[in-house]
Amino acid sequence: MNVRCKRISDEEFYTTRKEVLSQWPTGKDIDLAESVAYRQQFPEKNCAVVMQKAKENNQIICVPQFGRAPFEACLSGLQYMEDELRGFNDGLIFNIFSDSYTRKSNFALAQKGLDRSIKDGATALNGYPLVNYGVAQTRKLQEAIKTPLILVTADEDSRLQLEIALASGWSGYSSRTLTEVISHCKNIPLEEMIRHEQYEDRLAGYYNERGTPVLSHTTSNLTGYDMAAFHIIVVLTQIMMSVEQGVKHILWCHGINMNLVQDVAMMRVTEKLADYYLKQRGHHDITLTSTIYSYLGAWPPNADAATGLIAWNSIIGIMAGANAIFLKCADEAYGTPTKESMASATKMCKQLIRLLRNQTLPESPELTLEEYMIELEVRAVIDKLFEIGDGDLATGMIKGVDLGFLDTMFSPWRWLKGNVLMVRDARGALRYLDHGNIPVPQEVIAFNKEKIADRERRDNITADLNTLIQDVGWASRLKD
Amino acid sequence: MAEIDKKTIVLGTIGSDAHMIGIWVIRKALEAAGFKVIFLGAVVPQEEFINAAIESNAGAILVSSLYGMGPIDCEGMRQKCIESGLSDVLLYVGGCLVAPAEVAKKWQVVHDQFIQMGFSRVFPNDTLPEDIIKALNQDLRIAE
Repeated sequence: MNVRCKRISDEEFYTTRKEVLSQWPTGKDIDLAESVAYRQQFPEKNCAVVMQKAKENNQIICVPQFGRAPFEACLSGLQYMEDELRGFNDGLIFNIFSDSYTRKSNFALAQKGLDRSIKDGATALNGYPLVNYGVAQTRKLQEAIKTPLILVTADEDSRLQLEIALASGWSGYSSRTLTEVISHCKNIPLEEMIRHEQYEDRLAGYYNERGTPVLSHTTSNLTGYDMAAFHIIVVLTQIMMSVEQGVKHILWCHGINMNLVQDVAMMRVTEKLADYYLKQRGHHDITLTSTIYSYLGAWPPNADAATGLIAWNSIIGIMAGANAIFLKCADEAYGTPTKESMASATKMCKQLIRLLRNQTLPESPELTLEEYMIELEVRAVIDKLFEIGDGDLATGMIKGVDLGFLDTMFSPWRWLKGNVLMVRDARGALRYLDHGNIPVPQEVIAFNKEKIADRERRDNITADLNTLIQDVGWASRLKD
Repeated sequence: MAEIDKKTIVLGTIGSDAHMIGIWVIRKALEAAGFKVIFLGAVVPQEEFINAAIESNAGAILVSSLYGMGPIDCEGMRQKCIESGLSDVLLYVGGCLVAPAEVAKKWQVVHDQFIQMGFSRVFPNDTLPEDIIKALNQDLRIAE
């Protein structure tokens, strides 16, 4: 049967669950009823609860990210950050990185990396091998810290990772379909990715229904160089898909392009349309909060230059009214962050929150126009997806990829057309040099052309592939 | 065995690593410099690099790794090249090769580790496309 945008049956869920738990020996330790009881011991240490309170109290939650293979190194790093950040304003959620082998469900290779890390006394993995450690050990990690935990480092099949994380008392995860295949995958068809995600969203629904809420972090991190409207389309499709499975607490997230006006417009249009489409589809009990993910393009190796990026990302998030900020740190160009560097980035972000929390970007003709153009494009594409899917969003998404209606640059995923080209305009906003086969309204195409022409005149260039190459390295270059 | 084509280069990101932008930029620069690029994209196993080099008689294999697990992904690659009859193929690696950041910053140690693994050259994270082209021209004895 073809995948559809509707709730999977309990029979399908429990049949699939047997396969999922057999992916690695630690899967057999998970008992759902026992896990519900375990989770109920931590009603406040919960990502969904923390985000809801933050929204009500005008707070902005910082989400530092950290992960090491040796258990002690992972735990002591998290404790170090808690100690360093004690007394600072607003709250925290920790994203513990899983290593990339775990993300790819290659648990045997993760085991090899873990064994080597223990032998060498230094991490040979770029994160915490969650599945290899399993529930008993991961509960110890969860219990030893005060901050709620979210599982963000997922890949095409993170079902076993999520089973272990939620059974261990973590309370958030990434609900994602299009963003996942576009950022990390090579071969998996979208239909299969959707099936994996429906399982994960249903698992979150299972816990939601038993009074132990789970935060669904619905991301559009994508490739790091993606159009604002495309970010929103990805997030909205994922939101609409996930609520059918019983997801109730959504933290939607955009990777940002670091243009203030365009990024703020992207956040505001998302807020408006998420509410619109949920109500239109009869969902009135979903709590929505927002976050940004720091720039996902190339970062500068120079620590001071990277610090500038961290601050600018934070400011954009605050000025856009985000309820949370996912942080990167000055180590980004080198790899898996150190605890010192991550704590330092978080402190800076918290100070910026303190200074700027009552400021948002004021209304202006420029912002209004940007929002208008983004909304026009988003609605046109989403309408088209429902049309080609005969009213079913899952079908529309799959056909939309085949037809190039959903498209961006730099994806490793073989199913994506990759016909789109984008450059920055005179003010640094992203514009289509070529919109490929995306059904972008004529008015928006004309607006994009006009904005590129402004830059061409100013810089005395003709925008082409070389302009794009220059733009891709824009944030990481130290000399012009 | 067919003679190698010095102007053909195999390029990709190794292992479970999904980073695309770096290799995309390198591809465009190599093509602009007159090279033919066999572009494998991201998430590429060692065998795929080697098979592509055999099929295209490539002069060099360029391996990108940005997520810190380069040592596990790259070990044994030179040996596999030798076993596949590519004893002399130029093998470059570059990016953010090791985790965590405190180790990655000791560049000489990282460099020497990959040279010992049989790589011909090892490039840090601030390498520009022109640095790679210069090295290729020198190593392949291509007149600039």
